[in-house]
Amino acid sequence: MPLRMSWFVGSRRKISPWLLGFLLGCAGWLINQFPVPFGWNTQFLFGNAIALVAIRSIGPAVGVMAVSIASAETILRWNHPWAWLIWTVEAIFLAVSEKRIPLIIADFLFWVALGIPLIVLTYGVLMGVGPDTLILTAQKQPTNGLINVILAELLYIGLSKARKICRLRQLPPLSLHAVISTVLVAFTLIPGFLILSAQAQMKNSSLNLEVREKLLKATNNVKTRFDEFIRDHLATTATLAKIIVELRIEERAISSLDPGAVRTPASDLNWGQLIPVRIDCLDEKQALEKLKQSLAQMNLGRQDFSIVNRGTYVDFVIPLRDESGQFCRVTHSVSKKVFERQILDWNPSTGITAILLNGKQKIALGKPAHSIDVLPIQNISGDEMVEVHQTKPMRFGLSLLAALDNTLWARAVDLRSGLAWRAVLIYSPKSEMGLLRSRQSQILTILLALTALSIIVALSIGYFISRSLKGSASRISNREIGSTYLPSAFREISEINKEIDEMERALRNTQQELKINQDHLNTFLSHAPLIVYRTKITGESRGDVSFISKSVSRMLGYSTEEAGEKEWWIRNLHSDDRNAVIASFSSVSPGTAIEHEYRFRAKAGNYFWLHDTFVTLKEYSGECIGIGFLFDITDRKDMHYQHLRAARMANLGEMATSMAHELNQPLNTIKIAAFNIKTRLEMGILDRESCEARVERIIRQTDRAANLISHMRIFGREPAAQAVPFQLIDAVQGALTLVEYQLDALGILVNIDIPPGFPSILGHLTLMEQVFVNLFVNIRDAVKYRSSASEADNLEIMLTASVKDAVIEIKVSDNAGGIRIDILDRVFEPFITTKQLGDGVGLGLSISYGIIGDMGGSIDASNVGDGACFTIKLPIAPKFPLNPPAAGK
Amino acid sequence: MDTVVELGEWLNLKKIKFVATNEPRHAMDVVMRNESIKMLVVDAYMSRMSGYSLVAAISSQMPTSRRLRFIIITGHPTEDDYEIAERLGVSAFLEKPLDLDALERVLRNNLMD
Repeated sequence: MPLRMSWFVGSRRKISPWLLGFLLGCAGWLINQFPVPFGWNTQFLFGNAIALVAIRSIGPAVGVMAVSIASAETILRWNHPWAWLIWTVEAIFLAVSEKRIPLIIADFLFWVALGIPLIVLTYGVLMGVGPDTLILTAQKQPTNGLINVILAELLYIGLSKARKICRLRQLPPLSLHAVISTVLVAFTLIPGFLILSAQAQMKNSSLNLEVREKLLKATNNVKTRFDEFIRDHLATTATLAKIIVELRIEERAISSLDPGAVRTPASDLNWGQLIPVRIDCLDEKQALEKLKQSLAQMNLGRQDFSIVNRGTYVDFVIPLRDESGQFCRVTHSVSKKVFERQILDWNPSTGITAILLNGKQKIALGKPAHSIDVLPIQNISGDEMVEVHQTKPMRFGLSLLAALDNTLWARAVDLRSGLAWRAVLIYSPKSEMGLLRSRQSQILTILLALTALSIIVALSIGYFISRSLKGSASRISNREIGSTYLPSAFREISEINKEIDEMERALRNTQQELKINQDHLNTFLSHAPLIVYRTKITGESRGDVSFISKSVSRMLGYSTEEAGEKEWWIRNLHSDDRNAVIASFSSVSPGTAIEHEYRFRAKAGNYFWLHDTFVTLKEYSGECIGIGFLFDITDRKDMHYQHLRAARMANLGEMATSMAHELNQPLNTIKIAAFNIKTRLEMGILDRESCEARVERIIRQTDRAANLISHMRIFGREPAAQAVPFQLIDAVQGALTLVEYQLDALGILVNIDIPPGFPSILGHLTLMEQVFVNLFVNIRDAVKYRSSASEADNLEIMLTASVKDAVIEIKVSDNAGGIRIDILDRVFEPFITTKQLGDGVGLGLSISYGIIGDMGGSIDASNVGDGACFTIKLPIAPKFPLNPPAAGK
Repeated sequence: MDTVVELGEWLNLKKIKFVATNEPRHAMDVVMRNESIKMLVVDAYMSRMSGYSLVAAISSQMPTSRRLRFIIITGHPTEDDYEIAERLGVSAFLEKPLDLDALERVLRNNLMD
């Protein structure tokens, strides 16, 4: 799988959100390495923007962590933890309010309510930055924060688009308020920031230039003046020295032009004992002039001079060697004020301080606001302007901005060569910077005010649009028919509202139609003589009812709630039918229909016969449901049983004649035999042998009649409700018991060919007997009505049984002339008969048809050869019947 | 078979000459050959041929001069049976179980003239 922005967009591979947040935080840290300068050590950092994205896209806590990591960079950059602290608190605030209000507004509120007070507390109180810097910081930080939030929101929107393109899970959309306020604030802040940033850089460099110019001018000035001053004063000193030498003054002394000078030996020049000599020179100029003239002839190397800083005095020292070779020196002390006035002869308001350096010697001129001892100015080379800091700039706890307040610009210049003195001119651009910063902060104030205004405008636009949209939306969702909408200030929304109106009208019509249809359907469902239901499908079995039409209460007495109860259906199945029904409903599959007839207990406790048609459907969701229809077929079932009963009665009626005949046969014999005995008695010739023969015959014929009558009773019995397996041969023999004498009397042979071990049939033995009786009686009647004896000599019935493909096939054929062609197709219809009145009403075959049908088989009639052939097909009874007959039944 | 035996026993007791058979075709042969046979008593139901068919066959082949009486024994004579019997010129219907006194009366009445 190609790595496509996987960690950033959040790929399908699972990455821990915390790891993702950590990576985002590190990315923010990296970006924070490249700050955007805003002039005079002010920096904007935008790395937090990428970390802030995490709040929305990953999670609030992760977002806070990411921002915290990204902004930790400032601890090293700015030497204090306060920016990190404030930004982390900002992230927490945003994380908490992310769901409630647009982030940009939340951020604005944060800075107003928490951020600026925190800045005042940390920068102002704890770090002690100046008021200008504090004000600027209090404006810069919110601006930076707001821009970061804008960037984060824009990134988030971009990310959403990217995810949409990559077809990844969608991020939650931004609210209208958020988008409008972000965009508006972005249009206010970002250009303002860019202009200010560019301007600040410009102003910064122009200020640098200005200061450079100023320092350059000052250094040149100092150099010139120093040279002049030195020249003058050294000349004077030299003259003095010469005078001393010439005058051979015993005491080598230092002369001071300043009458109030206090002379002290310069300890650092160990050139011998210093003897102070005071030359009172009333007319200084005159004396100097004199000295100059005399000194003109002197040739004193400049290198012999030195200048010594001695507190409030500056000494000009000339070492001398007299003729005796003894060293002495002449020191000319000048008040530092004079020195200062001479060298720094410009307006002191310029703020430039000069420091003269020679080795360890330092002479500070002007009014330095800083302790010159700590200034790192020793190594400043000439002709270069450098920044010097009074304190170490990277000291922890000192903000860069505060450090800048104490930053000085310095420029060094070598003074007279040979003297090894250098001048370092120091200037603090604090006032200029202050001015520029206050301008910057004014503009930032305006920007922030505009931001506030933008937010208010955004809020109101957002409010109006969203109110209009929500109004429209609520009209859709509430389906308030005919509700009037608030007129919108936006044409588009008005148009939407019109569209909604039309939609609503169409919807209302559809709804009404739907309602009418629904009403109709409900009426159908609750009044139709059927129950419609829906069930769950659990596995492949029919589950509980999840819907049922109201007709259930009318038909079965259950409320729809009762019908929805667990196992309602299974519980109320008739115990005799339950296993078979459950078996047939336990392997349903979509698209198949199952039909079953079973008894079902109504609420009153009585049982109804129901015809259940059950269809399984697959829904769009892939879930399977079952839909079924229950018909009450109790009447039909009752009728069916009544029909069977009536048919049996009819059969009995039909058979009554043959029964009478059948019974008359033995009775006839008995009567004649009895009569014979009586006659012989009357005639007095009753012999034992004859009598025994007669009595034997009577007994035999009585047995025969009794046997017939007992079978008649079995035949007339109600069939058992439950189908049970039985043997075909039993049914055939039972039928023959009833009709065999009649058949025999007509000379009809019955050939039965049922192979041994023939499978059982599931059904009712007596009903099957009835089928055979009907067939045999029909053959009997066919024979009886034959008009001619010549039609057939050997009348016979063939009954053969075989099994083909698990189907039992029974053929009953005869050679009694066959079925009349014109009624062959209709033999199984009721009341079709060719028999004479009194022999039958034409129900026999129709009843047989019903019986075989109920057993799941079929019966067909055809003419084969010289007779009729009835073919019965029946399923083999299962080896293990579904309902084993109860013991004793 | 028992009936035929018992009936024969009774006819013997009544001294009435008779020929008994279970076979309709045999009966027909006997009747056609023996002009002396005055009366045919048949069961309406017999193997291979109904009593009516036998009567119809004999009366159609018999010379018109011959006076042969037919008596049909049946279990349950219907309207149709009577109609057919009348058409065939059957003298009497006797119901099962046979009333032998009635049979004797019918025999005497028909055989005396």
